[in-house]
Amino acid sequence: MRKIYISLVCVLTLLSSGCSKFLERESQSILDDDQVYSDVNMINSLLANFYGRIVWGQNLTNSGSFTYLDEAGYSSGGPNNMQTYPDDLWRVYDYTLIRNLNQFLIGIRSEAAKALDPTVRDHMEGEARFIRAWTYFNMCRSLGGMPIVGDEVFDYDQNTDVSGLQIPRSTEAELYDYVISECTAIAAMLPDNPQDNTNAARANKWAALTLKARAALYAGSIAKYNYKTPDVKTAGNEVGIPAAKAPEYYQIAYDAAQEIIKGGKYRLYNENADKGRNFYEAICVKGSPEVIWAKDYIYPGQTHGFTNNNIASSVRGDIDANIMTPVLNLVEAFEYKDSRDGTLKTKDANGNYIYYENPADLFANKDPRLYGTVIYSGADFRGVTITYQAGIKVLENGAFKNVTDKPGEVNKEYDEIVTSLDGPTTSGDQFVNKTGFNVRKFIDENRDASTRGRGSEMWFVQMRYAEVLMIAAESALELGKAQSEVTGYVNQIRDRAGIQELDQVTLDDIIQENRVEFAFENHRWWDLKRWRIAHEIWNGNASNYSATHYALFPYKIHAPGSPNDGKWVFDKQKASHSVYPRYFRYQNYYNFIDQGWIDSNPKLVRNPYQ
Amino acid sequence: MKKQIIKIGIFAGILAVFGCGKDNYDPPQAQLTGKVAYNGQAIGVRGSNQSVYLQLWQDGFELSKSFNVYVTQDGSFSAELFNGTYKLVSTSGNGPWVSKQDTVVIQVNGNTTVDYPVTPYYTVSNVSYNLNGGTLTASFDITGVDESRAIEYVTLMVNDTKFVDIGQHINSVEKAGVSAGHVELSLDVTDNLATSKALFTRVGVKINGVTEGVYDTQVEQLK
Repeated sequence: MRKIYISLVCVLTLLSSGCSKFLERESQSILDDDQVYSDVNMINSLLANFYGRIVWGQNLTNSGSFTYLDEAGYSSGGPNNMQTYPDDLWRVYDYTLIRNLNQFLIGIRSEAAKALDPTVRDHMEGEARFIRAWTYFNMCRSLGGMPIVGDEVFDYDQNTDVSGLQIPRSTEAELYDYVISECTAIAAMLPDNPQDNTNAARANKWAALTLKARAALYAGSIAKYNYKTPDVKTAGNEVGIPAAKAPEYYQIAYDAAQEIIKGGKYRLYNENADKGRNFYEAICVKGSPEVIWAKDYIYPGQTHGFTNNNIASSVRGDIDANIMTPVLNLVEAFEYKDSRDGTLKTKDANGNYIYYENPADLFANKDPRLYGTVIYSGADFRGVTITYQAGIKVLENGAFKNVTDKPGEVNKEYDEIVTSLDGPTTSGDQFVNKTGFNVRKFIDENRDASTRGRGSEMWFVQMRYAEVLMIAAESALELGKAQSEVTGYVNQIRDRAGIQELDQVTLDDIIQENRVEFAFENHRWWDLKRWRIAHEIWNGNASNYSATHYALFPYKIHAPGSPNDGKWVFDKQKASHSVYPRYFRYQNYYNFIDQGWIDSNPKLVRNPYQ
Repeated sequence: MKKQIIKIGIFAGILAVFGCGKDNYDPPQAQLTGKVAYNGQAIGVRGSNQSVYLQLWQDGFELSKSFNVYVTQDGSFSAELFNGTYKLVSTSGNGPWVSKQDTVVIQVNGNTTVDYPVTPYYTVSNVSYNLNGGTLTASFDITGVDESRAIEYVTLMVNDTKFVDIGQHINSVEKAGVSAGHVELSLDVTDNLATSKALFTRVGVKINGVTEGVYDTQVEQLK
C-alpha cells in the first residue's frame, strides 16, 4: 500500500511538472517572418546577404577573370591555353535570388513591418528592388531577354500545374524596359545623401539612376548597332532590339545622366596635384567623392586575395604574386599627354633601338592614368621603385646576345643581377612576372593586405561619377547634340586625368576613353558586346595585335666602353603565357541557354548559334 | 566467433567475384564516322579548338542533352556510340556553310558511316603549294556555291604544328577584295624554315559575317 502511495506521488509530480511545454518552446535559432521583419537589424542582415550575392563578371575575388580580355594575362606557372570564350562565361541566371528578393518584398510590406519608420521601410524596399533590377540587368546583358516574374513568389506542391510556373522569355527590350522602370520607381524611394552611405556600399537614389542610365545606354547601343551582327538575333526578339528604338533609349540614358550631374552630389576626385597618384586615389581610397556604388570589404571577415595574388614580387608580403599581370596592349592604349598615339617608342624609324637612361624614361609623358592603373618599370609602389629587367644585352661581334638568369640572383659571369626579382621571364615558374608590368588599380597599399591570412579590404567600384559623364557624352553624341556639349563631358575626364583636351569626339574616342578610364572595372567586355565590335577586335587572328597579348621585356646594355653601356632598351614580344589570340565568336555575344533549364521550362527558346 | 568471420569472409569473397557485372554497362562499341560534305566532297574546316561541331541527339528519354561531335581539319568526324537511332544536326552559324539545321537520322548498328550534307558558301579546289627557296606560293580555285555572303579575305598560313588555321599560325598573308575564281598567294617563309623544327601550310577563305572559313582539306608539310 505504501509503495502504491509513493508511486502515485511520483506520477503526480511528473504530471504537474513534466509538462513544461517542451514541444512548444520558441526556437532560439529559427526566426519566423514576423520576428524578422519587425526588427531593423534583422532586415539589414538579410539585405547584407543579398548584397553579398550580386558580384558577377570580372571581380576582385577572381584574379583570373581579368585575363580573358585585352587587359592582362596569366603570369604565374605554366602558359594559359584558353582558345575561345566559354559559352557560359559570366552567365547570370539566378532565379533563386529573385525569389528570395520577392519573399523579402512580401515581408517588408507585411503587417509585421508596419511598426518601422516608413522612410526606413521605403529605403529597404528600394534597396531590395535595386538588387533585383541589378540582377535582371546582369541576366539581360549575358543572356538577352529572360522570364520576368514580377513580385510573385511561386509555391509548388505535388498538385501544382507546372505549366503556370513555366514563363516564356521576355524580349531583350522588355527586360531592359523593366530594369529602367524599376529604377525610375525606386529612385524616388531611396535616400539621396551620399554622406550617410558608408563606403558607398548600399544602393541609393544615384545608384538607381546610374543603373537606369547604363541599362538604357546598353539597350540603345544594341538597337543601333545590332545591324552589324545580323545573325545574332532570335525570331521573337529575345535577342536583338529593333533599330527604331535607339533614340528613345539614348534619350532615357541622357536624361538619367543629366539628373545625376545636376544633383551635384558627386564629383570627379581631383585633390592631388600628382595626377597619376590622384587617379589611383580617386578609385582606390575609400570615401572618394566619385564612387556611387561599390562592393565593400572589411577586415576581419570580409576580405579578398586580389592584392595577395597580383602584387609585384619585390613588395609582396607572402609567397604569392603576379597571378595576372597587365599586357603591353593595355599600356599602349594609354595616350601620351600631347599625342593620341600611345605606342611606346622602343625603336627608331630605321628599326634601331632607342637607348634610355632610366627605365621610366620610356613612359615619360604618358597619360598619368597609366601610373594609377599599372605599375611599369621605374614606377614606385609604397615607396619602393619597381624595376623590371628581363636580362642584359651583351654586344658580341656587333650583335646583341641576351643573357638571362633566375630572377633576383647574381649571375656569376657578369657579377650582377641580370634578371630582376620582378622579372619578366618566359619560364614556367610560379609567382614570377611574365609581361613586364603589374597592376596597381585595386591593389592595397597596406602591407598586411598582401598576406594570405589577412587579405585585402580594398573595395570594388561598380559605379562612379566618371561613368555617368561618359554615359552623358555617348548618349549626347548618339542623339546628335552639339559637339561642344559632348566634348565638355569627355574633357572633364581628360582634364582630371591630366591629358590634352579634345575638340571633336567620335564613338571611337568614347571606346578609347572607356577602355583606359575603366580598365579592370568590369566594363570592357560588356561595352564591346553592346557596340557589336568584340568580334572585330578579338578576331582570333594570331597576327592581329589587338587580339594577341604582348609583353614588354626591358634589357640593360652590357657593352663596357660604349656610350650605351648601362642604358636600357625594350623588346616588345608576344606574351609567352597567353598562347592563343583572343577569339570572340558571334556566339559569344549571348551565353547559351542551358539544356537543363529548357528541360524544366520548355518555353525557353535557345539563343543564336546554339 | 571465428565461424562468423569465416562466413563473412566467404560472403565478401562471393560478392567480390560476382558483384561486378550486374550494374556495369559495356562501353559503347559502335563507331560512327563520316564527313561534312557538299556533293560528296569533304569541306575543310578549322580543326583546332573544337570550333566546328555537329550535335547528336537521341529521342525517347525524359531529359535530353546533346553531345558535340567535333569536325577535324579534313572535314571528318567520328564518335563512339551505343547502337540505336540518333539525330545529327548542325547549329546555326557554326561552320562555313549556309545555316539550315537539317536533321540527319542515323541508325547506328555496329560501325556506321554517314555524310552530313552542307551547302558551303564557297569551296576550295585544285590547291597546289610550291616552295621555291624561301618563297611559298599557293594557287587554288574558289568556286561560289551560295554567294549571299562575300569573301572577307583569302589567306595562306604556315604553322609549326599540323593545325593550320586563322587562329593557329605563325606567319600568314591575307588578301582582301577577292571574289570566286583563281587565286595565287605568296609568302616569304625563310625565317620560319630556319627557326621551326617542322612547318605546315594551308590556304583558307574567310567568309563575311560567319566566324568560320573554308579551308583546304589537306595540310602540306614543308619541313
